[in-house]
Amino acid sequence: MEINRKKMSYLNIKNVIKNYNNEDNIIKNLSLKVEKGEFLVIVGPSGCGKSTLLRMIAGLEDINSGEIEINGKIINNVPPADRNIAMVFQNYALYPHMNVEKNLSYGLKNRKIPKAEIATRVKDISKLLQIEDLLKRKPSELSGGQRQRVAMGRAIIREPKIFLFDEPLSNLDAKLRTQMRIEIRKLHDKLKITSVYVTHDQIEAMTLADRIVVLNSGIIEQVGTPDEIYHEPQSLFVSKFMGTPPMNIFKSKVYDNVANLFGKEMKLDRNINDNEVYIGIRPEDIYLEPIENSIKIEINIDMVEKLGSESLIYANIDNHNFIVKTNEKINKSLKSLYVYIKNEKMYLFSAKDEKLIKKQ
Amino acid sequence: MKKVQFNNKFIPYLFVSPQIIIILVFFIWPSIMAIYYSFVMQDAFGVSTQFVWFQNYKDALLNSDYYSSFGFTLIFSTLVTFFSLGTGLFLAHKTNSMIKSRGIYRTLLMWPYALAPAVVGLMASFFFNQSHGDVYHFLNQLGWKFDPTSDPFSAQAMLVFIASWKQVSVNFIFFLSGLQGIPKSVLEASFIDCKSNSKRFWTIIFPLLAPTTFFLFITNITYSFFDTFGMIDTTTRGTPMGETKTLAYKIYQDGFLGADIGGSSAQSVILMLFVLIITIFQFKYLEKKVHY
Repeated sequence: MEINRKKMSYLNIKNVIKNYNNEDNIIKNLSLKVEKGEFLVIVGPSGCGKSTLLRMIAGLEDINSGEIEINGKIINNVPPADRNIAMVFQNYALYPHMNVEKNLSYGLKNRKIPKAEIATRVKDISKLLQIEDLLKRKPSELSGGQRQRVAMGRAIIREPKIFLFDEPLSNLDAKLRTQMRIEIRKLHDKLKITSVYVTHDQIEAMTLADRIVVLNSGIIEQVGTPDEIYHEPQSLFVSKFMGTPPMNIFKSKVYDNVANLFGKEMKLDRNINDNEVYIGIRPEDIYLEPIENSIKIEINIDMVEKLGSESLIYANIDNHNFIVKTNEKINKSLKSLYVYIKNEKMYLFSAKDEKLIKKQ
Repeated sequence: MKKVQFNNKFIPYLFVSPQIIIILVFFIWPSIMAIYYSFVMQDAFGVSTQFVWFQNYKDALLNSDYYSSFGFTLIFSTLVTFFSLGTGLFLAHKTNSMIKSRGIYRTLLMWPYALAPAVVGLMASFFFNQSHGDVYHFLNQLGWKFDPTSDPFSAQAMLVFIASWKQVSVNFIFFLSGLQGIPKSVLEASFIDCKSNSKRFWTIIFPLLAPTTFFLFITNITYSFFDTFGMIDTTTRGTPMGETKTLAYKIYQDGFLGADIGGSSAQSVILMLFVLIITIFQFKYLEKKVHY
């Protein structure tokens, strides 16, 4: 299959609102554009509306107001089978009574595609996904990874305009998940079909996406490349959600741009208009050796987790939990430790609206 | 599961004894007695008993009445199974696609199940009654010279109707639970793959219901063979001209009304073998096709 940019599709979501039975809106006036050939990952905690959003694109859920367009054509009232989308489901949703070959060809048969063409496509796809030997097997005779491939194949074979993935890797074990993640990305680079991928797993989001959408209770918190999302989180929510282990967050009073961090005063390099602020520090931005322009804090160690190349120190200061990630060797019997925090590595968020306070 | 060890050897037997006793008293013993009676001939008062080998079987199988009853039973059970399965599936599918008040329909459609077959027959005899039956008059107004007392076809149609009606509720509830057992995501995948509702039903939903359908198919055939006895006894009693006699009803008439214990026992044994063969056949050939 050749990549033809003209044939690629884009998706436009305009002011979409969704609620069930007039309860609180699940999706609150959401607008989003997915560019041609882009791999967009929607990430958020469970219940944030990410699956609902995907299902609305697929046509499996109605929209209360707003518009969804594919290539500029409104598809609000187009039935799922006519939207020219393909979806990969979390539990694969293979047809249990059909063998792999029939699972792959079912959607094509219903679209009255000639038999010879179906046969070639089945052959091509099964070769691409290395499921040639499984064509005569029923889904119950396949392993999790094989089912996942068949589910992918059933979507690809249709040559859809848009690919939708609903947490497709969450039923696989950790090793297989990593492997399939790489395969999905490779496949996308090969086929360049515009894709929307929903997940709650931030590592999947970071590794797969061209752009990430962070969704929180029906509102887009931030849209950006994985680097932007990680290094320039625009809100407290994004900063807490992305990153393992999560960012350390403390609340601090501010007076005249001076914050109070566990009894130590620190002149901030940003202008703060409030008298209170959230301070966020990534675990990897905390130093164990003295560095310039930093403050020194003593932490009480609760536990040290050795991960091989790095160690995680779970600690507390004045009953605030505090995580440090370091490459240095840590003695497990250590009870306390001095760490160094640098002002410029800090993320500051307004205590009022929880938005990022930018550096000048 | 954890295995329980008993110190006393007899306690496990004590626990399973109620079931074993029930099977022995109500299934095995009557069957053995039927086989015994089918080989003997008795006078009407049971005073003298004579062993006659296969004479009773010969008498039954050489009688033309037996074949007309056999034929009616086959057609009757086929039609009842077809209509009650079809209607049950239709109602279950419609109810399952409802969003509101599904529970009400489920409850209401279950009610006929609570009726005993004899009561269904009694109700039918009012509805289809010549002097004040509403259905009787309605059918005649439609132009059908409907008369279950003298026209065999009318009587047979009436029996098929009421026997199917009674069984619809059971089929409905089983089909409904079968439909609810189909994973939602599989249905959604089929929505994306197939536009036509009817095609989707026959290519995805119906095949996935196959285990339920198979189970109901067997129970419905058994039902129409045996459980319809009460309905027939409270409506046609085999009339007109013996054209509404199922094999089970004929056995009752010959044995209890005709006092021909030997002959009716022979017919019972034949029926038993016949049902056994059907069931073995169904399990052997159909079951292979319904599991995935």
